[in-house]
Amino acid sequence: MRSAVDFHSRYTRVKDRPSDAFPEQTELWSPIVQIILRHDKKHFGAFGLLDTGSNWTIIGSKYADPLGMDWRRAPSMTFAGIGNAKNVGYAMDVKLVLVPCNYAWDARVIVSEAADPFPMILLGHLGFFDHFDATFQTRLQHFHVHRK
Amino acid sequence: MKPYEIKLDFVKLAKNFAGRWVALNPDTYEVVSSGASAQEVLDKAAQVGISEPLIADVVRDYGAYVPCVAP
Repeated sequence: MRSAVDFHSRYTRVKDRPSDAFPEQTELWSPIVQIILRHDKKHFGAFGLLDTGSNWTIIGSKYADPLGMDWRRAPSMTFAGIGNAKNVGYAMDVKLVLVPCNYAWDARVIVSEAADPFPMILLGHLGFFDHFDATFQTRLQHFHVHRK
Repeated sequence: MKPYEIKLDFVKLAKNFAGRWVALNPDTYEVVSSGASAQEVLDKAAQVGISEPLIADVVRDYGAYVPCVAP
């Protein structure tokens, strides 16, 4: 039987670099969760960013390779966004576990080298938000994830 | 509704490990290994008995990344 999904969390503080545009900005607060990636017999934990701006759940190749994913021969697609108008992504099926509630689900994700500059897994609409309801209170640095 | 919090100081992690991968104990967030690649920290974590570590690619700061994907 699957665990119930209903938890709330503070945003997580990460470091930022002040710029001319935002000279006072030394930190950011982001909605981050701990997940486990499983593919065949390999598995490990990683941090995932709840990214409502992403249509897909995207895993950098730097995370896919140690899982033993043969992603280069998977069905491909192109997408725009991460600094390039034509990134290539490869569809792979993985099992994800949402650690805060020990909830596992099967997801088709996109593996892409274009996501490698970003340090975390991007949890997007397909693969994450199509399984869970999430609400954000950025003003209060707080988010809520549940599934009924 | 259950409260949840990642009790990891990413700022301190960036200060000590920026540019490297780390493997953390998934329960305590203690750094159990660091290295140049995910595979390296996974191998090192397995050697100290952590079979399912939490791994992270530590960057100097997060503001330079815009993880927004357009259709």
